[in-house]
Amino acid sequence: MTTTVVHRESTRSSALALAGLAFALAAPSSYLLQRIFERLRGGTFDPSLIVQEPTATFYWRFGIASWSGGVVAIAAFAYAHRTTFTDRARRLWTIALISLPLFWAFLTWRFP
Amino acid sequence: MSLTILRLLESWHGQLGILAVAALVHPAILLRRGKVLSRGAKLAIVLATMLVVVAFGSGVFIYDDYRELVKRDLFKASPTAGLLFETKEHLGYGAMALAVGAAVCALAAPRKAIELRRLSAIAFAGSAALTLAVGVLGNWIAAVWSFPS
Repeated sequence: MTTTVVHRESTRSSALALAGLAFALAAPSSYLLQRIFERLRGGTFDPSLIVQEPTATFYWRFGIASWSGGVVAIAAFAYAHRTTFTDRARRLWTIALISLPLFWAFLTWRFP
Repeated sequence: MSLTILRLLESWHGQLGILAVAALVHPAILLRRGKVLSRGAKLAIVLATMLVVVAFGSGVFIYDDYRELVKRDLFKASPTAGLLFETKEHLGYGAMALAVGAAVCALAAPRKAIELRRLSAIAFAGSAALTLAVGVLGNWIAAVWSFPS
């Protein structure tokens, strides 16, 4: 009985930890997708001709990114409850977590 | 809000950002071997994450005034600096999201989950690197143009 309870607790904690990592990847990715959409919609521009922005799109962008990151985290939590954390999964998470900041820094530098 | 208060908040925002870099390196080092966290280590993780959230939040708080009073003139003074400001705001969000996710992972991971804590260390290291880039860019941008005196 006690073993089962401990096991359940452990599974739930692992699932929550994975949900945190899912948020760490999904929220910036969602932000990036929105920014790419904005860039594609706006086309190229001359930065010296900038006028005052009528709305603060940044608020919306990070708000939506955080919300969608949360949704993905909940989905990851539900999924992780039913699966085990394999070596392959660990490798994929490692690659994703290392490449995201690099990819993020490169894209935001080249396409601000 | 008065310009003096805005300049003060802008200065605090920058200082908190630099502090956050140092604070985020700490959990990355603590978690790199995946050992079980002590109470002090957990507190360090919570405080480092809070610091980056507050640094980001202070930027968000002054963003609207910055957009109205600074951004256009910044682009006029230096289009490069203006575009780097955009880069800075994107990187800032990425750094915060990574830190929050990493903190949840590190604090929730069960005692035996060494790999999860190691992954959390990677996320904290990524967050620290992005925060450092934000700090460097922020300092330079503030030197180019800031709230008028």
